Amino acid sequence: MFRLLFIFLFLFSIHQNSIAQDSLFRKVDVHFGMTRMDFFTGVQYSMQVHQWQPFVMLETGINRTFFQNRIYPRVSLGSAYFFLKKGKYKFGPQVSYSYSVLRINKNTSHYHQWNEVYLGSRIEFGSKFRFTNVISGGWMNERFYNQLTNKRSGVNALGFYFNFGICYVW
Amino acid sequence: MRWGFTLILEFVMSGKILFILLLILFSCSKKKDYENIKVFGHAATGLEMLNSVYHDNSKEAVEFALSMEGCDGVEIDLHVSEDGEIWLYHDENLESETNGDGCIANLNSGYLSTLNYKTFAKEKLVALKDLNFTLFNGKELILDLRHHNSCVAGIVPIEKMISKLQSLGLHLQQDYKVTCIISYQNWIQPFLEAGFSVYYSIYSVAEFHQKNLLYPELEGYIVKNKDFTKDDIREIKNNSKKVYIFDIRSPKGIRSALRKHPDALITDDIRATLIEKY
Repeated sequence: MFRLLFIFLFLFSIHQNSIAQDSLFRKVDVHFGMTRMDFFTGVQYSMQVHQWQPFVMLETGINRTFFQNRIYPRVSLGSAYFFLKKGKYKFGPQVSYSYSVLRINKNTSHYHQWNEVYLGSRIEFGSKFRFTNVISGGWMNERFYNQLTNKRSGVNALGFYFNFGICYVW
Repeated sequence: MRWGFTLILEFVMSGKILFILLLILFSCSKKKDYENIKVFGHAATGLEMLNSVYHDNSKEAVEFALSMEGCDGVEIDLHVSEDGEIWLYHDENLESETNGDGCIANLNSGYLSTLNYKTFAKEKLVALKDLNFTLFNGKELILDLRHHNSCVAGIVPIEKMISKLQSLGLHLQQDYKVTCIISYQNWIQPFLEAGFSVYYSIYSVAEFHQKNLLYPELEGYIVKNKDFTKDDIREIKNNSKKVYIFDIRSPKGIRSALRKHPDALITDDIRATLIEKY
């Protein structure tokens, strides 16, 4: 997972150097979101290159982490494509992949893991400081250690993700 | 604005935020004396829970709940159909959750077997006989027996329910424990006489004392978390009766229920309950 993240950031930095500076914006956003499993809060770093906006996002589950003292991290990679720009509004589709992990039963060494692939939309409003909103849905898979079969198994379901946030552009 | 920003920056740089976060995360040490409290899934994986992958009372939900490490069994809701088959379903009317309509007590199995839930996965309505009972080995199967037929405002025939459960051998089961939850007083004695382990649903300690005098053979009681204090639970347990708490969904509710030290929690959020327990 971390190797994937490293490759993504590496390609990100190469791409950043190879394009004209006047068409590039960097963005950091802080947001509050929700999936089927928990509420999440975290930060997103992205770069807007023409219409494309690839991003990497780090979040943590609010209920699990802050109310149940169990760290529940979530890492996402993806990209938005702003095909619609009108004044201070930007809108476009967004695709993302997320991975999250949680240790539910501390009597065992097993973890529940979630993989999510979502398609949705992203809206931004503002100039230097922007209000952001993401609404997306798609495939969610939960993998866990099955105590009936004594091996890992998985279940697929329809998942969703939405968030509201504030981003700073420079 | 600049002054405020500088203040925030200084606050972050001084490490206070990190300190506060670490304090929140590690300050509360969890009690470790919940080992003897069993965890059961309410309606398999919880009623109307967003984080539940499958619809409550579906075969998929039962199997999913039983497969989670730390889950000691499931509670399921049962209705008897006109032809004497027992079906897993929570609500009184089929139209609220399935593509069918009417009450199970007035319908036959031919029709009921064609129905599915109104979900993306379209889980089928399942008959009790179609569950894979070997999955329950070493665990507990809790049967919440529904006595009310809302379509005719009457009580469903008890003999149909008892004879079907007996034909499945559930009253003699040795590989796993079978518990019947009853909330209609007239059904207590017949189920006790038929050899079932019976729990009665109560709403106050006064009701417990009344029922305990009338039916000393009852094995235990089912109570709502908000209606009973820790002392109430202790009082029931001191009378050598078991107590299962239900109606628990939030982490706060789960914690409060665990602190009352019942024999089991029938929870709507198995994951959150297992986190609190372990």
